[in-house]
Amino acid sequence: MELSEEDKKFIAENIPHPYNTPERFGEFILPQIQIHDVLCTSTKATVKKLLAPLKKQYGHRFFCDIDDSHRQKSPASIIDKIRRSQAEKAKPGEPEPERYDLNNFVTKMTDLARFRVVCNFLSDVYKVAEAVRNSEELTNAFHIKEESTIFLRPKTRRSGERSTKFVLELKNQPGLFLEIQVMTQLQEAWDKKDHFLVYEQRRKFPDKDEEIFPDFLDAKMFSTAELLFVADDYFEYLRGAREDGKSDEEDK
Amino acid sequence: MRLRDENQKTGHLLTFVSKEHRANNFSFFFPVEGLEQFDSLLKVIKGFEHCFQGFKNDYEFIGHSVADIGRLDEILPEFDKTRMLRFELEEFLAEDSQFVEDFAKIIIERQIRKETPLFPSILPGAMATGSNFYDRMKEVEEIWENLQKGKNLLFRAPRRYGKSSLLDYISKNPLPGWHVCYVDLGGGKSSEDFAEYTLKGLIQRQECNVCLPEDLSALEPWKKSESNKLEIVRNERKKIRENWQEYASAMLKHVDLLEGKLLLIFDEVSFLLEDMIGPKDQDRVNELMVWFQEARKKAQNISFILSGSQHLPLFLESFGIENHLDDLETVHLDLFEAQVATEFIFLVLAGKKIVIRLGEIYSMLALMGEPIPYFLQLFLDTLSRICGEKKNLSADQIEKVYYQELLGSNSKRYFETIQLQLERYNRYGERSRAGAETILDELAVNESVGREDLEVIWQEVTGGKERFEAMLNILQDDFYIKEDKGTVFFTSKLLKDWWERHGLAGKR
Repeated sequence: MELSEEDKKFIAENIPHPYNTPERFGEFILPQIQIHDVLCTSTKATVKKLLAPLKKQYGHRFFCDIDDSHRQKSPASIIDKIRRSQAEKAKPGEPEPERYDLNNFVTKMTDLARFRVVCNFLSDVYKVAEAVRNSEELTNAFHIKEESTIFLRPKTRRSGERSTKFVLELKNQPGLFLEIQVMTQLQEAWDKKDHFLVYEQRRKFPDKDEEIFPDFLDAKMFSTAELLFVADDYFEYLRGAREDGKSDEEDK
Repeated sequence: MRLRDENQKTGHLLTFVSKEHRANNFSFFFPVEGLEQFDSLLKVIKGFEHCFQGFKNDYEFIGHSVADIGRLDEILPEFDKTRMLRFELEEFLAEDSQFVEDFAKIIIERQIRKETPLFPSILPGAMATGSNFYDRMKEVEEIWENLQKGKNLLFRAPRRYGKSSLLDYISKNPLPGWHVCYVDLGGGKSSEDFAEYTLKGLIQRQECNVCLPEDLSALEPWKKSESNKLEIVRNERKKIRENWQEYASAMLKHVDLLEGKLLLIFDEVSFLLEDMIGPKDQDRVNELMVWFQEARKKAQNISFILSGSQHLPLFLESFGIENHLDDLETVHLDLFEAQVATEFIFLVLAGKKIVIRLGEIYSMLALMGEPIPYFLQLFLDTLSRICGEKKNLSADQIEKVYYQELLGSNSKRYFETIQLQLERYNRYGERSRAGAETILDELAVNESVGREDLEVIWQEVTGGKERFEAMLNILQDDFYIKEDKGTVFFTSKLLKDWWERHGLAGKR
């Protein structure tokens, strides 16, 4: 992720010398989030163990995988998120948004460490979510908050993103968070394209949708998410007809 | 200790990214099984980060959480899997969970230096070469420093300390402007053998061709096969036997014709001299020693290293042979320091994909006593073979391997040289061997024995006090006994245990 001019200014003004340059600010940020990366590795290994029986059960087809390309939040993203949170205005009727700064981001941001479990079908997402939810190893170690955007009503949907998200906070180290996202392959594919086509543009030029998307690219991407949701839903129907039916046959 | 689990694909990757060249990048992968390893992983990562501070001018240090190491090169372009090492967290955490910084530093340094092979390997009894030649650079530098100052050296250490490996390293890595010729005097029993073995050494090297008699030089023996070289030496034998001094002097005289300086390394000088010494042979040794000292004085373009046992001068003295070694500067080769031995064990076993904890290394060292390189190699070789078979060895099993395998009948061949040494003792007088064995018997069953008591024992067995001093000196080199404040004891627990088991068991 590239630094915007505002990010560079923020770095120069807020990060202590000699790290207050675009070349060196990472050296200030990264050591502080090393622990998140380590937590991510340990949790990935635990989730992998959880998934093993499911993957074995559905060994005849792709079931799910942990996505390594969705890595630790970059120092540039962190700076961007801090800076934007400080400028963000509360929306009418909504609670005051979280304000981050260089002193509190380590314990306030919940997505510094994160990973994704990418599933084949919608029902696979539910099964993975259930396994996470019911894991004794995870519930013993973490306070877990779950939030799903898969079935939001249109009036509450502000983005095309669809996933089940778990925010885990280590019980014996409050303020140490980790995020696990569970989604289908189509949802992930959309997210990666949207990140490049819309999210990054909007981040650089906030509140200028009219100027940066004169071709309604943002609207098209939003609609595509809806299309892919329909596709996921239909694939799920087809899977059920094949797999569950087959399963019924085998049971007989 | 146990075999490393190579199947776990999820873990943490630490990458050292070179600021200069991508080819210098390297990484370490630590497989992780679950949240129960969170604290250990954090400790190891922080420990490595701390070690990294020493290299931060040249490298960046990046951590990656990895779900499947097998697919990582698709995601991390800077990742070079040929320079990735896999370790388990336990390899860097002591039993009290403290990070073992020395292990991290040594492995980072070896990666940065691109040591090949990265892990020293062991071949019991063979010379340590390449990166298997471990941690002797201080001594190598000291030797070259002395040679550059024009000094000739007496390189002394007890047997199996690694003298020959070090001399081999020097002969293969000379300083600019130097030629090195290595002469192995092992097996020689006379002054004539001395001259013959010197010839054997010189004909190996092209640049030494000028030192050879004209007729030999014309043959360019360095180009010949080993069997042809042996034939050449055989043909020269008659001339050597006629007048070895003249022959040897001529060889050394012609060295002045060499471009650059010649370093002549004479290894196993002690063996030659000890084997020359019989009850009535002191004069022959004296003659060789006098000639050799004179030759060294005359040689303009040659430096000498004479390698021998620790107590060579005292040994000669006890036979009434004048010390003609006083022109030589003494350089000692000591044992590995405890820390070096610990690192060496870690590296050797890591190279064999064996996880060993620090406490287990300490137990190994406690079992064997002083880390005499040859015995350390034997122990490591035996342990790694058995760990490979059983996959897992508990502390009790390590101890069992020591007593039942290393000191057992299967390892007998590794100790054959001890028997050979004992046989050589009879050259020093009737019943010398029996006397030495009785001394070793006493030391094997006691923590220490008074020197005077040993002298009495020697007298009872050999019938006199003569040669007691000499034998004590020899035993210090051959069997690692030590005298301190009037008491004598084994410094090698391994050899003490071995003698108790085999020396006493096969009691005369």
